[in-house]
Amino acid sequence: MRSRPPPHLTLFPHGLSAGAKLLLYLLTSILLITADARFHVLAFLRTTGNTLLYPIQVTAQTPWLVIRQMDTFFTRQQLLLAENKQLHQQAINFQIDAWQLQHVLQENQQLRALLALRNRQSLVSHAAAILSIPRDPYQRQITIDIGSHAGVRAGAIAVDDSGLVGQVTQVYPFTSQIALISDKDETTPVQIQRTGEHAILYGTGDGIELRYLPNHADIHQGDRLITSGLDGLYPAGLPVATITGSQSNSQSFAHIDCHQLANIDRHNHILVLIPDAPRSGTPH
Amino acid sequence: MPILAPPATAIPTHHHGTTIAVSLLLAMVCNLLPWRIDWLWLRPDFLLLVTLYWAIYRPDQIGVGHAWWLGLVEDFADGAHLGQHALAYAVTIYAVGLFQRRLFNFPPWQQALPVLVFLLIDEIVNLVVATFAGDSRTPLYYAFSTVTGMLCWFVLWIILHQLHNKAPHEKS
Repeated sequence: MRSRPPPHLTLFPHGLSAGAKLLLYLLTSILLITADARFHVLAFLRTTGNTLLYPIQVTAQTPWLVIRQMDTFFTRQQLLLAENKQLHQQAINFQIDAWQLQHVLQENQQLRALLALRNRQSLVSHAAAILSIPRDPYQRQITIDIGSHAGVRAGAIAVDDSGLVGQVTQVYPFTSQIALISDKDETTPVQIQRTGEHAILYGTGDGIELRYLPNHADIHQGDRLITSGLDGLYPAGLPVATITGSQSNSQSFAHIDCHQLANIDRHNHILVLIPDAPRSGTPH
Repeated sequence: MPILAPPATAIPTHHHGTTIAVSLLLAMVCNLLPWRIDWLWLRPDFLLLVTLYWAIYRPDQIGVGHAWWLGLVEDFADGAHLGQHALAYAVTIYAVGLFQRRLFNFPPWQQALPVLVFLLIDEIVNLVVATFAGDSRTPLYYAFSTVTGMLCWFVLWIILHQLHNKAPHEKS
């Protein structure tokens, strides 16, 4: 026998009616959205919420990590040997490059000193694993597993082995969020490698495009875009994208589509580059 | 087949607090799994689906208020505007509340269509909020996740019904 009927079966339930409750929560939501989107005053709340979420994020990641580790464990030895040999070869090549680079750097420093130019900022790099990719169609962001504890600052940039990934926009104690260059709020100062022409690369939400280049600009399909370093935030010379096609319409500006070089889908690790000396730059 | 003609559900009187909390936590974990970026638009919102289930079967335990807080958690996880998912969840669960008694008696294949509508409501509220908050671009193919969500409903229903109906036997 039931001693007490469930509340939803009682004739006159106590408390607010469902409609009144909904109205209350609607108003609270609108307040929150306005405070967050228009006035950006909820940073503390965001940090707290994300710190509390961190254990769940790590838990979600664990099964994949275990599977991947098992996978690595059972990799054939021959495969490993071949890879090892190849990596050795690569390391030797890189070593030769590094010697040359050192020489060039020295020369460059002397030349810069001669020309009285500002010295380039050195960067500290941190390896980070991608924790999750949120399914919000309105934002192109990823979450990584290092935060302010590892020295990450908003505005730091992220790269993978093939190019620029994006920029750190939110830093929490143990995680940070990176806006990909395809995020609709991201702009990247770039340079066309072949011609040296400067341009600005805009994220569109589901791709990237070059804007404000005239119709007669010297552009070919397959041209490589590299960071120009003009804003002082991105180091110059990082590969960013290749041009996939351009249409000249009736307006004076060409419509140029690009393809991002970085591929965060292929591997789970990226590199975060943090300027060595603290600076007062804000993220774009 | 329990899914085609399920036995009549007894009106539950005992509390399912732990079961509900654990299932919601697992749904959150599913949402946070590292999905491939090319397939992201197919990923249903597991947290909302599980919330829908409990709002239909245990309306005394999961209501508009709980949905709002769960939506806020989703906002943190997604990096969306704070309050965006919270608002969408609250509206969706309110809509569930209007039809709860009918849905309670439907077999899952009959619940599927209303579930699709609820997921669409969530998607539409999200779109409206994002548009008002200043996001101009809205890739519409993301709405397809409502269809995959409806397909996931059957699987979720079977799993959650097992949990839901097993608990009293263990207790008695």
